[in-house]
Amino acid sequence: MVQEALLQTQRSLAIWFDCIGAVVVREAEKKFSTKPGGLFTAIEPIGFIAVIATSRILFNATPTFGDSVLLFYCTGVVPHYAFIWISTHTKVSDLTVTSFPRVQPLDQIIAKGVVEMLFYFGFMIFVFGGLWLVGVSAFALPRHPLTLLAVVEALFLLGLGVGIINTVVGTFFRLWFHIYHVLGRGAMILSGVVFVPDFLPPDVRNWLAWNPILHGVTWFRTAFYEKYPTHILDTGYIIEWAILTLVVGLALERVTRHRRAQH
Amino acid sequence: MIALHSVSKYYRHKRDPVLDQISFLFRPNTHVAILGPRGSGKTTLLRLLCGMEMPTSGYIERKMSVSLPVGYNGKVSAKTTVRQFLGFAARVHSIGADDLTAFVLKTADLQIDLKQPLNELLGIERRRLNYVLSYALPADCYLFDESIGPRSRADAELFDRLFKLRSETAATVLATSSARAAHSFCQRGAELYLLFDGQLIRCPNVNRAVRDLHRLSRSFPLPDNGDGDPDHERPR
Repeated sequence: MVQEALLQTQRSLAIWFDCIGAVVVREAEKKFSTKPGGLFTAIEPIGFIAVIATSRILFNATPTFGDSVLLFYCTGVVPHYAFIWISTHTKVSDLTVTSFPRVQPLDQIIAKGVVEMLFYFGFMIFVFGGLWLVGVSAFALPRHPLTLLAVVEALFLLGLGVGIINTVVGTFFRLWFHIYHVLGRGAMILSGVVFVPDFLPPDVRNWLAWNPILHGVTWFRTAFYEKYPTHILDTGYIIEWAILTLVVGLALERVTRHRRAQH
Repeated sequence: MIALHSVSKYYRHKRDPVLDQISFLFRPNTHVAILGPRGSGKTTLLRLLCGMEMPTSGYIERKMSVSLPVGYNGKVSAKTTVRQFLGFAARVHSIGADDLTAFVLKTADLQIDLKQPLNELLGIERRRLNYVLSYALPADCYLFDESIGPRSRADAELFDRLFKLRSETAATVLATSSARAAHSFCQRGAELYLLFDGQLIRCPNVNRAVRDLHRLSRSFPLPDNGDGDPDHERPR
């Protein structure tokens, strides 16, 4: 009896893994086979970095922190995009995938997360490996790779949660994705990409500290800079947000599944 | 085994339920014919059985794998090529992508470019491909919806051959509005159910069922009043 149940579980798990594998392959195919393609998305953050760094260098400013303007902005924009990418790309709307009932909405979300994660790690290696090769900074290689891994995971989970909520909201309110695209980029100003939060006056700092991505960016920078100020940093806070958005997002997805199917 | 526990299905634009509190147990290796007039919810019932849609209330217990309604023309996103589509279908069902592609193309007798987007295939090619694909994917139970049946004689021959082949080894559900089709299926040992007014009723006798349906709904023809053979529904 127990053996039977175990066998059944094993079979179900095998099916589940196959489904996720299939969607992962499908998503990767889509991301890299179409013409502008996935690589195109990488141009956006790189462009951002280029614009801010160039303007700073032109005005001959000293780096806000560390020895390189370029690296400082990279360690701000790159973690911010870990969140932006996953939270805008979690749309569950690929018709090819949804035409097979064996694939459940959650499988698609997980598969999308896996593909985005692989892409993101490639992107990160490209950016920081590139900076290291060019030799702009002594800090271009992370001092604490495990911290880096942890913060990227946290940002990804947060992005996934927000992404699921976006998917639900976007089904009923089509304009939402456009608004979110703008909001997400605008939030870069608030998440400590261009400044060190600990150097701000306490009044401003305490307000900005409500933003979980700001903690993500700060945490990310501690993996690179040995002495980055971390008075404001609360690593638990971003994880709490991640769990909260995931719970709310998954609940919303389940509750509205009926109605979204008819949209 | 598939069990429907007081399943209801409502659509937004309709006030009356399409299916109303249906309970139904479907055992493995049995054949079921569902006979009902047009628009009675046969297609909806099949979509619920295979999990393409969810019931508004009630729940469905599914302990065997169910195919898509055979020949169902699922929408695919633009730019999905034939190779990508078949590859995805194969991987989802844990079978080899190359085997499946080769089998489908050979059985459907299609000469197409695998790099071609699926949406750009001719209607007839797409239909044959989907039809053979639904049969190629392993399942314990195959759903057959007559509203997506064959359009030409060559198709009909192929579809009939595959249907007979699969109904020997797996359970089948045939949803039809044709009394003749239901009759011939029942002669091969299928149970007959009537779907009318959101209710699913077990019916031991085909002729009796047809007369009842005719009495209830004027649009439903008697088999001997000269309504031509395969009276397939128009595609929706």
